[in-house]
Amino acid sequence: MLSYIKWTFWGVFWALLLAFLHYTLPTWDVVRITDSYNRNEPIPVGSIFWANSKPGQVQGDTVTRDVFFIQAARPNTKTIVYRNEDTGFGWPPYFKFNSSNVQAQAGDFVSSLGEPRWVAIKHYGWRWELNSLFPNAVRIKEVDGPDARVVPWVSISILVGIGLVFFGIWSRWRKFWAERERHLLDDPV
Amino acid sequence: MIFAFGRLMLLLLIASSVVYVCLWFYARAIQSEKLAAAWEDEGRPGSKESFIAKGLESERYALRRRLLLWVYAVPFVAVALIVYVSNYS
Repeated sequence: MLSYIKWTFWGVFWALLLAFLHYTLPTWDVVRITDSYNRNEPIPVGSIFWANSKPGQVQGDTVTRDVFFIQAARPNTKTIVYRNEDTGFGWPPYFKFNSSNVQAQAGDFVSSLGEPRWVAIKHYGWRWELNSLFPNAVRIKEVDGPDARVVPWVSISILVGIGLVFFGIWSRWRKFWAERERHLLDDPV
Repeated sequence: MIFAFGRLMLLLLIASSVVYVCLWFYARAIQSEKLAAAWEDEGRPGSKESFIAKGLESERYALRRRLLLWVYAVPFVAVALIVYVSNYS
């Protein structure tokens, strides 16, 4: 019984941690931008999946405010929609203030299926249709073609950094307890 | 925005201070272990406690300078750098 509780606890812990990292860390999509616009979006009050840096119009338990959106098509013709919001000094710490510039760039890159211009969009977050969630586009750059690969160096370095810090703490922790055990065995109280 | 900036600065300050205190005690423990070993190597001159206390005292300011630089300065420089890179490059 106790081992079930233990395994459930660690399972939930790792699932939450991985979900958190997967949501927060930046990744690149290679897409063709089909449209860019802004619309008045109802946002649940206190939602953690939208940037809260700007006030809006409160109606009951939703806030309504203008949000930039970028529509795009993947090389396999599936569609993806990004929001384009400032994160400001809030979470996640992208410190993005240039959503207007990003939107202008997105408008510049709009292309048709006949004459595609492929771009890589750096984003974080999830497209989750049930909850009307959209990944937040952070940066756009032009790439050679639909097969281009952009290595997510930032995410890789952050993961390696987190790993190193935890390994450092863990190995010192283990050494500390091993040392203590040795002392206790050498001269028992 | 000012509110968000203030909140970020406050949280960074709190997090840095927690890290500072942890690293301070950890570094002091390592230093006193090293001093104890040095006391043995030098043929146990005088009392062990006073040898360690004197050594710790002489390293206090160097450690404080190093920790202040790495623990407090680095996060704020990193924030400034990310603001620049993500908006102006």
